[in-house]
Amino acid sequence: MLAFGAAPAAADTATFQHPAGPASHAMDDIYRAVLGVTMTIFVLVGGWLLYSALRFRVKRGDPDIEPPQVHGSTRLELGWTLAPVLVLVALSAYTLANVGTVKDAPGNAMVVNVKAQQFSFTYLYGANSGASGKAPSTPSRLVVPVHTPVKLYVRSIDVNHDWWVPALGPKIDAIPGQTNTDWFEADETGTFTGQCAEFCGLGHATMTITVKVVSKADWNAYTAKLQRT
Amino acid sequence: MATEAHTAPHAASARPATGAWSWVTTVDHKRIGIMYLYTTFFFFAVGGLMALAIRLQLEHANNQVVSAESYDRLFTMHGTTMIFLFVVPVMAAFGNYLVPLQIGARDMAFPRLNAASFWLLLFGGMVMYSSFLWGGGAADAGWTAYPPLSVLSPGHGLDLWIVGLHILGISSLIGAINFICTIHNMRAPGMRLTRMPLFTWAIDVYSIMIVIAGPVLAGALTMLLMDRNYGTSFYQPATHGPILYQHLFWFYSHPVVYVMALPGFGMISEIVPVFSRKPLFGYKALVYSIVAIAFLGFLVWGHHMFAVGFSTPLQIWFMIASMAIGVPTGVKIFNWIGTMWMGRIRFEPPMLYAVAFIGLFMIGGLSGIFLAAFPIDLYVTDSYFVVAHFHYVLGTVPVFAVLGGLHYWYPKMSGRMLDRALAVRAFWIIFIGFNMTFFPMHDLGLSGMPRRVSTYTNNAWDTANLISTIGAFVLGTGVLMVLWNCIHSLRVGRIAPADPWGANSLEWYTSSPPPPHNFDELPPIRSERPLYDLRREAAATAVTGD
Repeated sequence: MLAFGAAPAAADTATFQHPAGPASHAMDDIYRAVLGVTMTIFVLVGGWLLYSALRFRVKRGDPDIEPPQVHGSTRLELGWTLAPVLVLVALSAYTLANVGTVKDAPGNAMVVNVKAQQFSFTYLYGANSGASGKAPSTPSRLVVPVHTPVKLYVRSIDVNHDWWVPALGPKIDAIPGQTNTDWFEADETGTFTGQCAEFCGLGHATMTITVKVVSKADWNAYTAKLQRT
Repeated sequence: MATEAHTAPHAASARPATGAWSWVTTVDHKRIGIMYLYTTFFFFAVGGLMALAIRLQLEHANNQVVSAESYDRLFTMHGTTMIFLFVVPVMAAFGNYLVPLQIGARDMAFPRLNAASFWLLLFGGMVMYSSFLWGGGAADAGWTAYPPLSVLSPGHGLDLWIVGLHILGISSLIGAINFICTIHNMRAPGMRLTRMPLFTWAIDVYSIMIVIAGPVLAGALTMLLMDRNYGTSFYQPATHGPILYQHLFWFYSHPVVYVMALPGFGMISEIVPVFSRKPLFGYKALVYSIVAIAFLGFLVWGHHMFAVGFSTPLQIWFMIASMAIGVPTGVKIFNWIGTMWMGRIRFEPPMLYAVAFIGLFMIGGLSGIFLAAFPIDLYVTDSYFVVAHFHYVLGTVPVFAVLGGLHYWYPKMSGRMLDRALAVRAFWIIFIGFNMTFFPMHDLGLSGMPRRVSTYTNNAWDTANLISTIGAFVLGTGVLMVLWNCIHSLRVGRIAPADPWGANSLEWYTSSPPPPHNFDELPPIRSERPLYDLRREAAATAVTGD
């Protein structure tokens, strides 16, 4: 009855994409805590439901006796009101303890301005980047150095979009008329992909994001080249 | 005396008129309820077909079954149809049929208003669907219709969508006022609020929520219509209009989640005690939890907007308020299982649906905690994880609670029993299909697939999407079997007695189907289970040979 239809049994498919930075690690930690607690609740309460359904079902030949007409139990009901309160308070507290890492960029973060429009994201380097005012060599591919906090100022010039690279950190809406901020720090080099997560029209599915994380040496060479152009 | 009347159900004294015109002109709440049922299930089928088209398109990467343009219309109209033309009004269908019967009334407080709310439902649906016939095509901005995209959407599809929603809004608003007046003024002697069946309680709260929230959506949509056509600037970016719209939209649309869910809870709260042969465990706690969910439901809309750039304190507030809803929801689940505990459970089809609902809704409730914890939400929001979540919450309501309710009350409404074997088979197919369709979506969301994409290039998402697509067709097959069972049994089903289940509430006291005036007489109402009291008295009389 309660079988998970086609449960992704393998643990690594039932979790976040491989987190590659402090923000995404913090999110992943909260995710794992909530997953552990909710799975425990599901197994316990689901097990209770299943047991009750099987144990108390009428079987052929059972005597036709009316079961005890119990109308409730104040003590039990108070108990199962308070127990979820405690669980949820604990989960909220754990979440709040980790919020800072998810949301707040360190003060020395390099700044990248993100411009969203139908159907691409383009970038412009800002303060602390060493290439202030310059766009990446491919304007729709963001290049950043490894182990460096990156603060994004996200704007849109037409409709709502959302900048999301799952491995790097939280998503953030790009909404015309306002500037939203987001941050990430990649702790390994490589290419990370994502795509627009807020429905933005016909090309929504094609609005991809590519972030190339390079070593600090490569980054210095890259910015030097950008400065020359 | 009352016992005799119950064991020998009343012969319907006044034969109801027949013929199409008698249906068009009817103000009988039962006939209006039946017309609501046919209409809403028609739209359920249409919305379901759209879902199948969506699933075909997403079956594997780079698929090209429908164009991006058609896809956007399909998911917009699928969501809109399922919410506004199926789940919300199907509760009014059952409410119309059952509320007067459950409180021992002859009809609704305002029978003609009741007819008006039905015809407005049909009309609103037709207006909205007429957008497919216009050059510009149907609305394509999602059921959430966020500006600026919805302001820019070309053609008049979105205008017809708004006007259609306005008409549907009026339909549900006058229906809600009618329910409130009926429930608070027309209860039979002895039917105190504390003895009212849980389904009627849920319809009362459903109605109050519609009255509070409905006008907010109406205002939000009117401003959208003005922005689109008359150059107003309510939602212009310079004044943060896009965010204003989201606040207004979700101030309505989050409560609507409970507008849809509470009557489903009510149905489950009717079915579980009857088939467990026990009273509801904690009747009052269940009533309080319905009221608490409704109240908290108005405080949490911002959890749909965690990614719009809220300050951290605002996010914390919406997280805590959202988590708080888990408490009354948990109480309901515990009390339902408490009702089953030590019972004598008969697994008739309604009970199969009810137990499945409890288990599956629990998955939806628990995945809601992930979304309330906003750092996780900032990963999973707008991904397929959310699609999985809300189908485990809002898909289980129509598929398991409403179909459970349909199997439960079908004999009352039609005077016939459903084919039990077919019903059980259909249930298992639906159960398997539902989980195949929606469970893999959790995985898709976690691995980065955003919602509302007309296609995708990542082959890693192929397997889960394929399972989901196959599941959708399995689910569709099961639903078709249910519909076939309902239609076929109208002719060949066994004749239903007044009370085929050994039920507790007043609708089972009168004949199946009830006569136009509902009751020749009413039994005394001394508890929330008047029919149980009657059976017990009858048994005591038999023993003492009185």
